[in-house]
Amino acid sequence: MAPVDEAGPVGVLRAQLGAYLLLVRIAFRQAAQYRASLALMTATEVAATMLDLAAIGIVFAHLPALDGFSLAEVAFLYGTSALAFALAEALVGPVDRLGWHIRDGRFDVVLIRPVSVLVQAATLSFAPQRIGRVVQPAVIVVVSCAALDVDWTAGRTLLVPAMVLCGTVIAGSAFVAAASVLFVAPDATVAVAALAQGSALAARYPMTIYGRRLGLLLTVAAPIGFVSWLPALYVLDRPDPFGLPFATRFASPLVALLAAAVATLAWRAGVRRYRSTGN
Amino acid sequence: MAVEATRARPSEVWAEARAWAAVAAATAKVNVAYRATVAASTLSNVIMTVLRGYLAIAVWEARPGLAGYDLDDAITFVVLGQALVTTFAVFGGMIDVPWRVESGAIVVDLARPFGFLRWWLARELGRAAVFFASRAVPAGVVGVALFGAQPPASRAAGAAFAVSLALALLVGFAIRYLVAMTVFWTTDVRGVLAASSLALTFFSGAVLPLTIFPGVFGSVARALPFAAVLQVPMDVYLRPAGGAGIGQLLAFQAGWAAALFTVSWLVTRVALRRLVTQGG
Amino acid sequence: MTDQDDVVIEVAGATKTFVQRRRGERRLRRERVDVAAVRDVSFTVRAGEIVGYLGPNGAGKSTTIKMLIGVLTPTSGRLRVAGIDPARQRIALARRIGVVFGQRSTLWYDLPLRDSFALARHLYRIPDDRFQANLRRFVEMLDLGPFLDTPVRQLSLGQRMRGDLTAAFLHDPAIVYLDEPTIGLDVVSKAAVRAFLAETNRENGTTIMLTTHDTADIEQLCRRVLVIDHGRLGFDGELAVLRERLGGDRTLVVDLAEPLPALSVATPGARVIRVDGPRQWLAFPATASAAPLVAEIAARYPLVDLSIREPPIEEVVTRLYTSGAPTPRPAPD
Repeated sequence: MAPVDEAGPVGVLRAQLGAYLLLVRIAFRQAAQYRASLALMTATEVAATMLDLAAIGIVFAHLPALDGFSLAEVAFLYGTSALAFALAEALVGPVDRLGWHIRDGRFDVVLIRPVSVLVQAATLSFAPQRIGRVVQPAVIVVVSCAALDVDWTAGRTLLVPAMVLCGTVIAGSAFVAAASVLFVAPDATVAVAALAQGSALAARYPMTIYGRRLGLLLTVAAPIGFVSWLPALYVLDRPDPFGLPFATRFASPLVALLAAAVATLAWRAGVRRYRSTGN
Repeated sequence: MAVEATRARPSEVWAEARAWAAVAAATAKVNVAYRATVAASTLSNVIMTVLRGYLAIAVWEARPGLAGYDLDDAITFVVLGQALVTTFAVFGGMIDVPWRVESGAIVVDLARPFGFLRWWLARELGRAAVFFASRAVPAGVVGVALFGAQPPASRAAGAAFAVSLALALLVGFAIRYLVAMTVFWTTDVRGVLAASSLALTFFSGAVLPLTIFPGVFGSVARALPFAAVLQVPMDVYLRPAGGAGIGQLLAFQAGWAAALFTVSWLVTRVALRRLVTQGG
Repeated sequence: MTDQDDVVIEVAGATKTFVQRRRGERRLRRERVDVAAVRDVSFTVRAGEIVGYLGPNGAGKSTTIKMLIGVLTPTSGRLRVAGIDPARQRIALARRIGVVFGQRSTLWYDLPLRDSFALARHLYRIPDDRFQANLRRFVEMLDLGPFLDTPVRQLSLGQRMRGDLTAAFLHDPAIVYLDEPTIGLDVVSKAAVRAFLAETNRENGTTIMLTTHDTADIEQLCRRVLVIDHGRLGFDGELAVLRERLGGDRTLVVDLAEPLPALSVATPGARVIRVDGPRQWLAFPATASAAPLVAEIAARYPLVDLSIREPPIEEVVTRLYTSGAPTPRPAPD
């Protein structure tokens, strides 16, 4: 083991990453204890993906275009945002277990372990089968990119993985910030999960369908538009229907950093509150 | 005792009704005990309803007549349907049996002078009442204010809709109760819960109106009990031309409710017998 | 009234075996093993008794209680509680009995204590006047007033237990079972619980059966004890008899006029175990009378004062548990 004073920020980060991977491995092993349940849950995830795909397929089979966006364009928006949310969910996890732990008072155990509270909270509800959810949107991204009629310059090509990465950070930050609410209202699990789901849903479609006012609100304030909508406008080479400055299309990394900072603060405030009230 | 003689004994039915009401009222109180939770939940219901309303407009403006609904019908379907989603617990769960069996707290439930199935149903009524008032009504009001929605075709249709909602609650409860009761036979209910949540969400019509599905898949989806939870009440409300009559729709729900409650009753008997012979 | 009329709990040859499935070594097939939690247990309890039910963890105490409230059916044997077959008419029986689980509350976690009582009123169909009178009385006895409107989740363990006791007694049950009612409580709360049980038993004639590990509960409440170990009833009788049967020594403490070396006494089994100045402690078998020993000392030495101490009940119980057959513990509890 490295001495503590050698650690520094990088060392701390590496140690937390190690702890994260270890807890994930434990979650895998735990899930394997209940084979029938794991099989059923995996089957459910697969079925959910298929049904989701069928639902989209049915809608788009009837729709030539949505609010002026072609099928390929809508699929690109859908795929990139869904991929970002799926990745965030696989990494940070949904927050339901956290709420139960807080309510039952089992969260105290989390606080006495010498591992970052956030790392533990993220792995509390780590569900191996959720990794499978990444596959479907990834496929949609690839297929839609192939179908898009755009000039694949280096900038556009690079922007696609970059926007997914930033989108994942923004979505993950949203999950963490939402989870912080559970320290105040441990019973709000369902509501928090629904909000996460709502933002995932909102991000999937062209922001214009929400009208100018709500669309702008979602884009800038939520800030769901930075997950895929604004960078996608660049990739799709379209003018911004809301007339936002051109630079906003490349602002996602900045927004991601900001979101991560806000989420960290919210999380810390939540943990502090829990520590002081004990609940 | 003299007192005994002068006091009119309340009838058995009245006493039973009071007990039901007391259980439902206590559950309702629990569901409003955490103000922040209620506020967060109401807000998320409203947001989801608004988002889905806009989505419906985008889709149906591009393609009026999709799934047999014109734009107004589609908006009504999506707004009212989405507003009701949490009242009918379309995402599954909300019945505590698995946790109580796993923790052994089920002993307390069995020591009560109140039947097991009716205990959980009475609790469901209390929960649903709170969810209806605190989630469905605000979301519905915001949805109607933003998008406008069709009023019920007539006063009779409105009454039929109310009956349909009650039946939907019964069917939705029975499905989730049966799922919860699998804890008596499996070591880990999470798989069953996840599967049932998916089935309920998708085949109730909460994702898309079931009328959109073509062919055999559509026919099967519309015949399953899940359809009785959201799709059928919305059909009763909208009564699309050429669709089934209101009587037929209500009979469909009542039939599933009766069937599922019969099964629930049997499953309860078998599960409790298993519990009392084999221990927790 | 004859004894027969008085009997409210009747257990005749009750046996409960559980089927446990074990995974065979490297085999998919599971083996079935019968494990007896309670074997051929018989006893009766008369109306108005307070009975202590003792035994180490896993001895079959909870299994017996669960059979008595109808939550478990006996594999064989017969049970009658208030003339009712518990497993067959569980719900009818539930109206006439009260149950307190020390480790498991029947109260509504998120609601004020008052609401749990209001619910009990309708579930148990308690007449209005009885409900009001009982509630007023219990609130006073257990000093519930200050936290009647506090959500149960915010109550201390002792406050919660007092609430659970009230909930179990509100409907004037003929019989109340308490499974470790004092577990984890502080001294004050324990005393409150014991005083409450003693008073309701005295005033209402409520039959009370309690399991406990706290020997003070037994000493202060129960004249009669049942002892179960490895599923078998090992003792049924008065506490004094149990003490006697298991032996152990009583202690005679004598104060002499002056400090002396350890007395030498001729009474069989008696010996000095401690000397402290003019005071000396002599142990003698619990089964023997103290009279010959006292007479001998008074005749031979300058006796000023004396007192006799019974063997502490802890010692009796420890002796009881450790003298059991060395077979492995059966049964999940």
